Amino acid sequence: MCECKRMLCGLTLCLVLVTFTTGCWNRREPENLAHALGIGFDICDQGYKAYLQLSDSLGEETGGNGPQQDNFTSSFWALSATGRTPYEAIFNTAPFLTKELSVAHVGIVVISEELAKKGISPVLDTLERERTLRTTTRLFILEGDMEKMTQAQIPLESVSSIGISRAIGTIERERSILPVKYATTIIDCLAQPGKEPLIPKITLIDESDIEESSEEPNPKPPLKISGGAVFKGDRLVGWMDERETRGWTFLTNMTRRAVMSVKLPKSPEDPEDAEEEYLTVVISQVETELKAKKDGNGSEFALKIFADGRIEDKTAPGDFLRDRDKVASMNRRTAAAIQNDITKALKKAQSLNADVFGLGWLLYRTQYKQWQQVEDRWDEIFPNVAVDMDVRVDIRRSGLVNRVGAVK
Amino acid sequence: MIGEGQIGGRQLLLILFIMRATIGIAFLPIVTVAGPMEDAWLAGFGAAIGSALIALVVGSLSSKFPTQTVVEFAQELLGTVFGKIVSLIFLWVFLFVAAVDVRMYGEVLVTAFLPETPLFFVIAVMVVVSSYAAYQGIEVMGRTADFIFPVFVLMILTTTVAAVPSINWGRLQPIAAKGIRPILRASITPTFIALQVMTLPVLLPRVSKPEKATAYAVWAVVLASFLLIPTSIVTIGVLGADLASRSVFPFFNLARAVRISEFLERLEALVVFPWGLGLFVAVSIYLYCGAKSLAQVLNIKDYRPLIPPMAVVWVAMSIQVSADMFELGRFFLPEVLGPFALTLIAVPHGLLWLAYGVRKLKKKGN
Repeated sequence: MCECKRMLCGLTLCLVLVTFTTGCWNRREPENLAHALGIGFDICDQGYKAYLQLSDSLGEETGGNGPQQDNFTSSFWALSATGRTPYEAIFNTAPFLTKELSVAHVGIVVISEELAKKGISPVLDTLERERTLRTTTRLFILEGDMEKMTQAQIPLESVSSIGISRAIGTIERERSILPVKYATTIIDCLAQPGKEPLIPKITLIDESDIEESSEEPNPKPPLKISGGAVFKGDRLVGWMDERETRGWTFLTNMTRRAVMSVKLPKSPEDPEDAEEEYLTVVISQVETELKAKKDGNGSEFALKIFADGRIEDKTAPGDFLRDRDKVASMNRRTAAAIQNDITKALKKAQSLNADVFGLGWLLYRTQYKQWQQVEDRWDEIFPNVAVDMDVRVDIRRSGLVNRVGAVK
Repeated sequence: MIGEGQIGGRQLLLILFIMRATIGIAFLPIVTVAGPMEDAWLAGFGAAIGSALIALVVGSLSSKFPTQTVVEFAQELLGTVFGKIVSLIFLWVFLFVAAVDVRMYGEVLVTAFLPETPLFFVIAVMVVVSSYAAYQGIEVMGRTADFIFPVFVLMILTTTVAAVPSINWGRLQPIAAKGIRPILRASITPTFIALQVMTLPVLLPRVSKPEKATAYAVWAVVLASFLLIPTSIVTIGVLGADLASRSVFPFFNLARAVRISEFLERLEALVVFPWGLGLFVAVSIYLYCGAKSLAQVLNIKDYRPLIPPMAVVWVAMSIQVSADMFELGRFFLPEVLGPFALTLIAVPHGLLWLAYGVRKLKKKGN
């Protein structure tokens, strides 16, 4: 009986104690916090300028099914301050805030073009060091005005930072037009020999009339998330457009899905002035094998790509079921399209002399002795590096029909 | 002396394993001390061999005197006065290593979770809890180790496995391309953390089968060294060699960088929780060993009354042991910790082994 009572007492005590573990574990009450969801950094005369996109910690939670969302009006506040260091700049927003600033929920960090040209190391250092900021945030380089960007309202989103970090997941899965990376990857990339970072790019659209457009019945898209910013060390040296970025993803084995439009050959019976006809192939399941050639003195590489694809549409009639040669030709053409993308990306990187593919790093990893010989001259070698490409595409299915419908 | 209780061989193994693994993973010196190294995990093998040797040197001498602690057999071998002086070296090790261990735990908490909390408070809480366990005796500590071990290993393995999808295997190359010297250098610190094995000569008389204790100790340090291999592989694979080597707490940084999905991230608790548990075992063992040997040096029958005053010394010591994080970090550099630990292990054991050898020879001569 006594044993039983003790057990009961123990259990009750456990249950009582459990209640203390729920909810907030310290005295920082949610109603006293202002959560920054995204941070932008720019340079100014004083040093750094930080733009915070703040959300009311209570509003964000309840806003989910409130009336706010239906009108797509924003529920954030953009605030900026300057400082001599990035951290000081963030901290200097304090006088304007009535609540305690929390940076634990920062999902994206956007860096302006000017700051990127000066060097992003100080910002990365803040990200690494501060205990509530995370290295799993996403980093972007902005082409356009930072202030407008932080104030921009993306339709269908209440806070643009949240929208952008959500978009990243989608882009990574289905578009291959953005070099998707965590800040950790970029930090690591800077430290690796023979590898330069390619950082996702945000382009601000129509800078002049964002405010007007938000009052129009159908708002224009305020920004575009695609392409990459090419870095040399921690400094921005140029941009890669969508096709070049796609080439980069093919070369670095980062492609998950790519939509390629492939030009169809003209048949002899077509008239001279016939329009170009296209075929859309969706590439999935890409396997990239990049090797440094053993006898290449560090300047020759061999690339093998095996890609699977499927047909999504076709603008001209044709039958793949009975004509096997056509399938082979289509495979070759898609492969050539991929090869073109890679060549474009390689040319751009070589013209900027920034090894964003990590070809030097590949040497360092796999042929360390060779790398030691070329290490000091890598800047001279990289612009003339040759990559032998062997791209094989297998288009294995044509969707739910196997030929274009007849028009009679 | 039956009242003091006994621990089984398995419990001894778990105690030594937890003590070594806690400290090895907290600072993960294997990836930090020798500069950026892609193949630092190879040093885990070096550490396993080195620490096994230390455990052998310490354990095999002690097992020649299965009923005596180091304080007792040192006096038997070297005479009362000199024996007591040598035992003081052991006492110093217990005090110092425990102080550094607790300090590190305190620093983790203050750096990453409780920046406003005084270090004193974090340390004092840990020492008070541990001294309670030490007060309860060796059997309680053995069972605590039994209980904590699965939780400890499970949490560390969960973090490790959760990090595997984020690994970029390229970051672990090249392997052993830069020669063996950096790898050896990286294995010095993890090896000499095995200073903890010096608790074995005090624990050994309390082990139910003292003749097997050395084997258990060797297994404990070897297994704990092997635990460093997967943890350093994931740390370097996720963070990259450079960031890992710059990190103050690499394994903690690893947990920060892991993001399994949009809603499953922030696994830091899984890293800090086992440290706290492991450190609890470690500190209570140090306190027990310290109090026990001090009692024997001073010829006091019961060690328990010594625990509260010693706990106070422990707290003060762990705050005084270094002024700041930089000094503490410097202590773990191979060129500092190596000679320091080597002296503390080699001098007393050299003397004791020498005396033992001389005695053996004399016996043969007679």
